[in-house]
Amino acid sequence: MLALPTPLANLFALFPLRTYPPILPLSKKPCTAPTLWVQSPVSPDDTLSADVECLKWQAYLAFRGLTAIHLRTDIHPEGCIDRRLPNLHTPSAEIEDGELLPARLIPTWVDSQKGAVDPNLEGYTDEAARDESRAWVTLLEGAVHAGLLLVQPQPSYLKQILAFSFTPSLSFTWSSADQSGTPSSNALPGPSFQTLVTPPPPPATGLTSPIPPSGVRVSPNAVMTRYRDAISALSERLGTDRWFLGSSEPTPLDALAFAYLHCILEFENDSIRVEVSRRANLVAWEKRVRDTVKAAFTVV
Amino acid sequence: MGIVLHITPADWGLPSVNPSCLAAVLFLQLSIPGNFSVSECTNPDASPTGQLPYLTHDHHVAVNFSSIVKYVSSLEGRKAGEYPNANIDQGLSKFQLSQKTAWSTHAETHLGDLLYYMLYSVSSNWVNMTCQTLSSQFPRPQRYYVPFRIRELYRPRLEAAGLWSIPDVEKEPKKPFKPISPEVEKVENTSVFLQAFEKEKVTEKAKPILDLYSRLLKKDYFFERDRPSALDAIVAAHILLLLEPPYPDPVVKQLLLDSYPSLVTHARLIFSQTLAASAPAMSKVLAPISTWRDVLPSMPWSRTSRTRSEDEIRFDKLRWSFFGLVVGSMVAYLSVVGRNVKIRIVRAEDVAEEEEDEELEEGDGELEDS
Repeated sequence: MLALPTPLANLFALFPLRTYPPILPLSKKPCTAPTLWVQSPVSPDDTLSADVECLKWQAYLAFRGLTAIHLRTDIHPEGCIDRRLPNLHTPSAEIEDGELLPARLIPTWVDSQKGAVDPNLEGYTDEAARDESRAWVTLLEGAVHAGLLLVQPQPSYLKQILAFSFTPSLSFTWSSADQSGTPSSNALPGPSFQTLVTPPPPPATGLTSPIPPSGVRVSPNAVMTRYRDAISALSERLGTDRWFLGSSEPTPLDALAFAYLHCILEFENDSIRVEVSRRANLVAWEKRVRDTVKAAFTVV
Repeated sequence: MGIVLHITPADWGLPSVNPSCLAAVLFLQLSIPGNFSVSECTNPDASPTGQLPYLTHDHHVAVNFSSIVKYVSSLEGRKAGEYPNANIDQGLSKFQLSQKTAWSTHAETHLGDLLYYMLYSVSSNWVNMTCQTLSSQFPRPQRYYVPFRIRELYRPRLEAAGLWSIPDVEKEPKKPFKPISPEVEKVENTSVFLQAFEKEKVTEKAKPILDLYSRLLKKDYFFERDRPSALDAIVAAHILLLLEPPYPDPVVKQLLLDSYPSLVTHARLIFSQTLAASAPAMSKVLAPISTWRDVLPSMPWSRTSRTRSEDEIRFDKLRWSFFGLVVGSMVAYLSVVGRNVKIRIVRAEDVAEEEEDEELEEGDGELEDS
């Protein structure tokens, strides 16, 4: 046998070999019930997300009659499919860890659970109402969203720099459009004024100047006027109906309208909240629908 | 000074090449024909929001299409008899007015996207038609860069809508004796396939949108009325701009002509009422000549022109008179103190020559000594 020379053995004795117990993944919980991953709510005991996109899908699931859905709020958008919340984590018989669905596949999954709705009418009363829903969806996602974006607190320049240097995001590209830190942040740069306002706003340095264009010149008055018109039209259209467009059952449009109205009413900025809060029918509708949606979710 | 509408210049047989401007012209022709004039403006930065169209009436300025509609509709009630039928949406119920708001936004967004795709995104249309038209409209220094900036404006929006097209790959002319490598062929073929499917994709996107409007249009006009509303102006403006320009690559135009005759008829009807030879004539105002000022960037601080109070003006005067006093007394002081100071310009060569002379003189002395 060849023995190790004593000095070398002494040297190696300074670095003993230690074996640590394996680190178990902390977040691995068995998926027992369908779990929706959402942006965290404003207050921890609330079950309604502060993000419009997440809230829309929460309302959609609740309206389709699903109950006892779990919520997870501890997941970063970059951990999701498409780098965008919400995702639905469903228990599955074949796959051990369950199946993760991006938002666009949620309707298919719901159809498999609850039976499909008529694909032609999508739950609306008739063809005209279905066509009209398209116009209202555009109004909500365009004019109302632009109003919401206008009063969204922008992170200060210093904060952006600090956020960049101390908490690097998981991806290796960093864009200035990434508003980390705001309650409605989502990893992908969400809709901006350039995509929401029609016609698109000119650059801040002007179109005809020889200076290279930079920034966006948004006219707050124009955006607010459109927002005001949109809310008053929405209130007029709802009237005293139970659901939008005279449907007897909630539709995807109701889910979207609820998401926007709830976010506006929860917003601390008065200038956009007052437009909704002075219309009694919208406030009453939102209050009634809120209880339905809240009841369907439990925070894990 | 009456009502003046400022729009982008005319081309393709239409008063403006911008859908919002064209919609504003159609709307004013329907509501207050003959009572307004049009000014072709090549400097969008002259507008309070940096965008055309805008409308000026005495001291009132209305920016963007929806506020123009609002302002003009309110004129009927303000001055009795002067603008009869200015409110062309009269007769619509509150319920229909709310629907009109939603449909107008939908038309501006989705028909707008189709139109912007045709004008700015399809590269053959852009290179052979839109870019040339836009360049010809701007004055000399700006025509070289403004059209490209306008195209860039629409880019984020079209990318979000999935309508930004893949640029044409510059094909090298095939050389007869060049070895054919499978990689190069593959790249070329991929772009050909992508472009072929892009047209299919756009047609797939355009169909549901145009279907909506052809179903909505049950009679001659929207909302089953016997006269047009503001919504008719918006939809017709977009359809006309999709139909009239000589597109080298007419994807959506062909689709409209083939499958949506009702929308085409509607657009032509609105055209004949507002822009054809039989329609009331529009008076044109000569646009202000572009100056060097247009080239200057519009900065946030130069946009706010506030009126100054009398006190401020007085203080300004005092401040300037103080500066004048300081400068004047400085000049007076210097002229008194510096009376005896002479200023002589001494050049380096002069100094050197003098020194040389001195040296020579010294040398002479030495020679004499020895």
